Amino acid sequence: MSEPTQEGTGVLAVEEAAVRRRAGLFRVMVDSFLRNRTALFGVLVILAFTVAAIAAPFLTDAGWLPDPNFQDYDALRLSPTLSYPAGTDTLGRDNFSRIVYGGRVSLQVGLLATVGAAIIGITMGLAAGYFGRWTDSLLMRLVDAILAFPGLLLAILMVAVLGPSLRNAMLAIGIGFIPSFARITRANTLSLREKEFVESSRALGAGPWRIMFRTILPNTMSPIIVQASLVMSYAILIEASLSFLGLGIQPPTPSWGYMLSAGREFITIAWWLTTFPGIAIFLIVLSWNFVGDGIREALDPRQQRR
Amino acid sequence: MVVVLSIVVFAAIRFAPGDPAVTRLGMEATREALEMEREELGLNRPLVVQYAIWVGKMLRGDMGVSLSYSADHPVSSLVWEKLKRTLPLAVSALTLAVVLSLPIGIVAGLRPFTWFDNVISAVSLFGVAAPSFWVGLMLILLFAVQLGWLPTSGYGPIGEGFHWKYFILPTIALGIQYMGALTRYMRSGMLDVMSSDYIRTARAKGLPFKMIVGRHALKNAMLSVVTVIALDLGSLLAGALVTETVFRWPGVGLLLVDSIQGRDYAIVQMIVLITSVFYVTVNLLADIGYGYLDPRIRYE
Repeated sequence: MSEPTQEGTGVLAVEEAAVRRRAGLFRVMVDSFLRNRTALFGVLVILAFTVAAIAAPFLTDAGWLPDPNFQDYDALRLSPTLSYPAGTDTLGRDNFSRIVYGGRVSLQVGLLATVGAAIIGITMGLAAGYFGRWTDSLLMRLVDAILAFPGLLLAILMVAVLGPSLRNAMLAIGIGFIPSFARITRANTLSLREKEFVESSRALGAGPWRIMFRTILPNTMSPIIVQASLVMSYAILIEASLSFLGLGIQPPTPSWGYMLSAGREFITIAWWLTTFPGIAIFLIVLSWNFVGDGIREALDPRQQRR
Repeated sequence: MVVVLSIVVFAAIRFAPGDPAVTRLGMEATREALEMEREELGLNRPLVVQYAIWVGKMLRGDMGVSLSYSADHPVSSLVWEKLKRTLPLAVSALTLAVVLSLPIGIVAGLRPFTWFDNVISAVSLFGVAAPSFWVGLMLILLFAVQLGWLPTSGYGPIGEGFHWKYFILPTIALGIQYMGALTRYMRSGMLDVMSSDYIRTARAKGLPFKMIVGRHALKNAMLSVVTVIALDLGSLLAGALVTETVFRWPGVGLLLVDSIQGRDYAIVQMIVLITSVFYVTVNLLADIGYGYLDPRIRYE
């Protein structure tokens, strides 16, 4: 595994070897990930949704994608045809275009909630694990307090208090996921704190923040990345649930959850209104799950398929 | 823990925007009337006093009076009334999930990477990734709209009360999600155990396969699943709240959504508190049960 370090002695050479070894390991990981067909499928679906979400306004300007809020009263509740691939809703709006635009909300909420929760959770976990003592107990009590609520219920409570909006939905969802990041980071920090390379970094005069973020954090990244992609899938699910309950982003901005609850009223006469937005949620959640599992398998050779 | 919960719930709801006095009396009420109403509701007292009064009442089982329902409807009986409809739904969904997914997960874990395992893995993945409210909608489309076998929604025929036909679809919709998760956990638990050393020893001793699985493997494989079942109970209740709105099931979930929209503090407080206390209790029980099942874990 380890490569010999012929390029002289000293910290520099050791670090260089570590970098090279990591690059090699990274390539092995990417290879193993790409050979995993479900993970590849997940990446492609996520890419497709992301590109569509980003490009949507430009496509509309170019005239290729109808305005999601354009109401055509001559085309109310049309079943799917070539010109309306997913039919039209009860106000004559193009359902396919609304699904594409709905992806903007889903991915935005998912991404920002996950990244926010990760940053706060990782910082809390590092501090709790590294400083220990009262910092640890204080931060972990905080985490326990959040964990006392079932995730969805916490989000519902917070949005009910703050009022329904995109920002509040992101906030409510993000807070619920801080504990999972904090706990993973803390557990890893605890086990790494006494390792020799941390010791050597301390001996070289690094301060606690430098040790936490530059020395320990890079070595705990892999479980965090796996966790992040799974959190992403939960976050999207919860966002959909919130907007289904009318607690997410407010109409007329299209979101998948709201489209489902609006389609609920017409389920006996317009099946496409409840079918397609749900498929979109399902696909994206499934894909993040695939990606998470794929990264886990790539990082952990024991779990690799025979 | 319960104290922290109660403070969070109280604070969250108390600081919500919107004035309950206005909600009760309507926008046209005079300023004097509003002020009197606030005084009567105790909204003008210091917050600590309000919290103390609230806790005191709670402990005596008096959960306050709903702001939008009439005064002779105490919140406790209102929530209890709805809970009696939500709990059967949650319990039957959980039973369905446990009864189906444990045997399936065990078999899939014993024969990994066969066609049976692959099919089961695909199906359980569907259960995990598909939002339960969408599964509910799809079930309505298939069994109520297309086939016409079951009613689309509600609690029973209008004006006649409960009917079992109305119970089926919500149960399945809620159960599928947990089936997916449970099957996956059971499968991987089984897979882990079967590749462990002591099972190899048991095989080498020449024990019959049934004996190995039944006496040796199952007990250890069940460990993680017990925790998952318990952890899921809390989210099951939360999931039931969403599923209820799909099927217009007149339980706690529908009440919660209505109350949020009506800014009915007392009811939202109650529901969130009850669900969270339930969740914490179940988690505690799971921890204790875990220690009982696995003597290696001891609590000081």
